[in-house]
Amino acid sequence: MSNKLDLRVNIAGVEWKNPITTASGTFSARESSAFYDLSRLDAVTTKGVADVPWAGNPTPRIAETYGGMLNAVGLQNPGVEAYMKEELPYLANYDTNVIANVAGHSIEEYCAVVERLNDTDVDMFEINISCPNVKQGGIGFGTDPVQAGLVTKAVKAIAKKPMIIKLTPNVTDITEIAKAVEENGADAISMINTLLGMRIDPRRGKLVLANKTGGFSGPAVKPVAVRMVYQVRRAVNIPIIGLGGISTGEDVAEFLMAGADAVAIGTAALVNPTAPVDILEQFETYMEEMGFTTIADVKKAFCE
Amino acid sequence: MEAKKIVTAEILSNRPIAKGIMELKLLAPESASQAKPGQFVNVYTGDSSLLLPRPISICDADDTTLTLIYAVVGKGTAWFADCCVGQELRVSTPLGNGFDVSVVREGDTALLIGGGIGSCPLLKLGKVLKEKGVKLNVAIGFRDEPFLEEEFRALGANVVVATDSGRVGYHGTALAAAMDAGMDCEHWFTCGPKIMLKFVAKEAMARGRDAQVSMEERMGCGYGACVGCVVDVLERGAEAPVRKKVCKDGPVFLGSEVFFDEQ
Ligand SMILES: Cc1cc2nc3c(=O)[nH]c(=O)nc-3n(C[C@H](O)[C@H](O)[C@H](O)COP(=O)(O)OP(=O)(O)OC[C@H]3O[C@@H](n4cnc5c(N)ncnc54)[C@H](O)[C@@H]3O)c2cc1C
Ligand SMILES: Cc1cc2nc3c(=O)[nH]c(=O)nc-3n(C[C@H](O)[C@H](O)[C@H](O)COP(=O)(O)O)c2cc1C
Repeated sequence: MSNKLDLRVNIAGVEWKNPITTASGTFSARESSAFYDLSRLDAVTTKGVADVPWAGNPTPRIAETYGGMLNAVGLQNPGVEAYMKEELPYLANYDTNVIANVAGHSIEEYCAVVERLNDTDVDMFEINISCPNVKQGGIGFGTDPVQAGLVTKAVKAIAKKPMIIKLTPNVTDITEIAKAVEENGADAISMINTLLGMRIDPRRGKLVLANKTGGFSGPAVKPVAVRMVYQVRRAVNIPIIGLGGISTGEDVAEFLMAGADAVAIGTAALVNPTAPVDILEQFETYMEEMGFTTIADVKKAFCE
Repeated sequence: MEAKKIVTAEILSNRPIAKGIMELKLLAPESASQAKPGQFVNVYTGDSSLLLPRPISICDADDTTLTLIYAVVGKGTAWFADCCVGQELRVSTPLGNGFDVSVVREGDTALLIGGGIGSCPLLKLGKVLKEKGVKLNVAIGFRDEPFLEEEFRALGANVVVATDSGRVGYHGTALAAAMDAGMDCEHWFTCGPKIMLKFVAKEAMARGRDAQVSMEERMGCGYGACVGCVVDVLERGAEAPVRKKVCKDGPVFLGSEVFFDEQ
């Protein structure tokens, strides 16, 4: 690794030592740290947390697809109190920013979590207005610009930390939603969440997932994510954390060129637990090979 | 905390032992030397369109070699079946909790009930129990063609074999075969299809025992990050069941604590 590289980025006033974080739901402080030193990442994004514990969906929750996967975990989480008792103290052992991903069925539920986490070591909030798994609410906020604006405004009013709004790709025009959340005070955007998918087992004539539908992620979704980041970059000014199928160092560069300011590694880390740090190393090698020293160099190298 | 890893193993052998059933021996010292009975490893295909690791139970292990037995049921296991001796394969270090053998003492008796491919993790368990001086009863059931019978007999165990078809051994389930043969023991261990685990757990409880059951569930990551594989467990003294991760908190649970019918 060369010392010449300067991978720092600034996301909504928070300085990151490199542009890579984990994607919510594909990282667990305890389980992931059994494989690599979390301090090597600039920031880790934790699993969606709600005001009270959620049981999630019945099993099977996981199905493989060509170059990707479907998940219908349904945001199972132990609730914000357990998160503060278990996850946050454990993460305090590492030199990494913590992005708390927040789930909710209603504006009140989102606000309750943010209020509870306001005075903790959490560095940023990521508001998941997009998870397609939860029948009530979830998807409604992320697919309607008015609703998306309302949550953003309500959470912004109470949040003491910078607030990222995570967008769903399951919309006709993602730039409309992006503009709505920017206008209502979002400090940054992360995108994309999973695409709504389904699988049928043709031998058994049955749906593969108990929940019927699931969120599609992994390398297969990358072109969709890149296209959407590109569109949103041209519609808003706030920073974008790009994700969706990133599995190599060059994928990171692709997202930065499309307009992202940082990226997150999701499904790749389920496939290979050390993916976030492996991809960081590959990205550094890519920068050296390309003669880039800063993230701005990577972005500047893109011309249409 | 012990560091977990994905290691590159060398294939020592990969051969059929029954119809559609393969035995794979891997040179993987880092993985093999840590293996406890009832744990599993994630095995990766070399086909990047098949993204997820395949969880396979540790059938046997010594200091350097892992023995896995797998049924060829889909694309990933078909890919493994095509692998050649000398080829490299990526596998994880052992995952999951495994069977709790600390509760078993010298001179105790143990009943091992396996259903099909679920018989495999019981072999390593049988070896560990034998070393502890435990008397072993083994009942293994198959659809039509048994395997591993000789390996269990080599442990000096009492073995009954059952087949659904009745072609070999007892005509019926492994549980029925065990009960008919009067194999009840102080300690019960089982692995196999969920429906079998449910009946074994019930039967054990009816006899005042508690079976250790090894559960199977569709997994994503296999190391506890994705929360894909869950089972409802009501722990002793708890008021409400909690959803536990099969890959991390299991795959072995107490039969009395698993909610088999929920979900
Ligand atoms: C803890 C544990 C231990 C296991 N031990 C063994 C073993 O020792 N020997 C053995 O033959 N099989 C074992 N299995 C089942 C084995 O993982 C599946 O048969 C295998 O993953 C099928 O892969 P495939 O690509 O051939 O099938 P496909 O149907 O093409 O697989 C598609 C996806 O579904 C998953 N999947 C399919 N069937 C199962 C299943 N029954 N359980 C879990 N995931 C499944 C695959 O991992 C993959 O992600 C175990 C499963 C678990 C959870
Ligand atoms: C198993 C699983 C669980 C997820 N859970 C969450 C979650 O709790 N909150 C959230 O905002 N996104 C969640 N996601 C979406 C990911 O964070 C990410 O947006 C998506 O998977 C696309 O990126 P990828 O292709 O790199 O995985 C989850 C994804 C997976 C695969």
